Amino acid sequence: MLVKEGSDIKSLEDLDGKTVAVQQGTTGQELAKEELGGSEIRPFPEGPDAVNALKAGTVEGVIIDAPVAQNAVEKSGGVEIAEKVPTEEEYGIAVAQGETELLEEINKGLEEVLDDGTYKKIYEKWFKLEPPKAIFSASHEAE
Amino acid sequence: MSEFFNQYFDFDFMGEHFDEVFDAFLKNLLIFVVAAAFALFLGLILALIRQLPGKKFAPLRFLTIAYIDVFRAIPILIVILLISGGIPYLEFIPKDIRIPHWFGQPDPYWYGVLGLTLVYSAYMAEVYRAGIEAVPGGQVEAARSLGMSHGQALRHVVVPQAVTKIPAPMLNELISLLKDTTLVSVVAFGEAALIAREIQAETFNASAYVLAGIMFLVITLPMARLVDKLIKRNQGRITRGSHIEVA
Repeated sequence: MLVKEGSDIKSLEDLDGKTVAVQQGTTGQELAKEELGGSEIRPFPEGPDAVNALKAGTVEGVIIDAPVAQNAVEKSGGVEIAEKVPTEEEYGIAVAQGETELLEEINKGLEEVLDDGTYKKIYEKWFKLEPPKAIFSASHEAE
Repeated sequence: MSEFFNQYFDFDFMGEHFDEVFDAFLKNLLIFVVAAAFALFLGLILALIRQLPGKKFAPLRFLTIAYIDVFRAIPILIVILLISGGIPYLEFIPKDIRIPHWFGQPDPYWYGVLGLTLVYSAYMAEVYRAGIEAVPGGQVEAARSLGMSHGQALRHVVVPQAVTKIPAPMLNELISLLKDTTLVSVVAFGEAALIAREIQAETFNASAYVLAGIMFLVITLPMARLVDKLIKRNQGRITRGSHIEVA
């Protein structure tokens, strides 16, 4: 949850009733619809458009994926992360039905980077955090 | 082939989402009505200023022509993005005007109306001008020679004739304007194109787009037929009614 630097909106509840920008078609939009019933929700085509609206002052908060938010704080400035809302989301890689060979290769590749430390390195580079332990113990099999 | 119909013409689906799309379409109409009113008015002012005769008014004429040229040249989408991306930052304008929430409509609505008004007033000014210039110069000469002043000539001879030439092309501009209201979707205003897009993203079915398109058709098709009728009626008037020929 992004707000303008110095804003007194500190939590998701504070944002209810105020205008919120989200990126069209994202889980951020769904979260906003569920949790911010009193707010006007503005779906923008791209994440940066939503952040621009926040900086311009036409909206008071942005609900967007953490990496995008982090990037906005660092690269464009003038905004800060008010609250990190845990959504228990997981990322997935989808392939067309029937692409079993491709699916096997992807899963194999994931196993490799998880085992040899590359995943940890990449994760720490971009998120500046340790990857959650659950990643390494989760099953690698998919249907 | 049935895949095609399911994807685009799923009538049950359209029925389920009808209210949603219709409410959004009403927003397009709301943009249209307000922008059209402003643009028709502003366009007329521009056209009249452009016609002001004499060296005294040359700077005004120049400014007006410059405005019309510029706003006919820049894509409407860019105009709207410029407005919504820039005006909120102009801190010297008071916040209530910079980020308007007038009459219950949010700021993207007003940015869209402003953008459409600025651009369409330019096109409409040209329609007015074409109407005025289509009246043969001999009419003014004849009127003056009958003793009328320039103003009287305009009022009693030129304008009534010009007015017959304006409705048809102006209706074309209005049809264009109605369709261009969908551009306001780019500033996150919940009009029909945006809502149809959201429905498609959630359901992976494109019938909402078709439904929105049909709603536009219902309005624009009769308008287009009306244009044809007006043009035919006007031509009849010209061939039948011109008694005033300057020898």
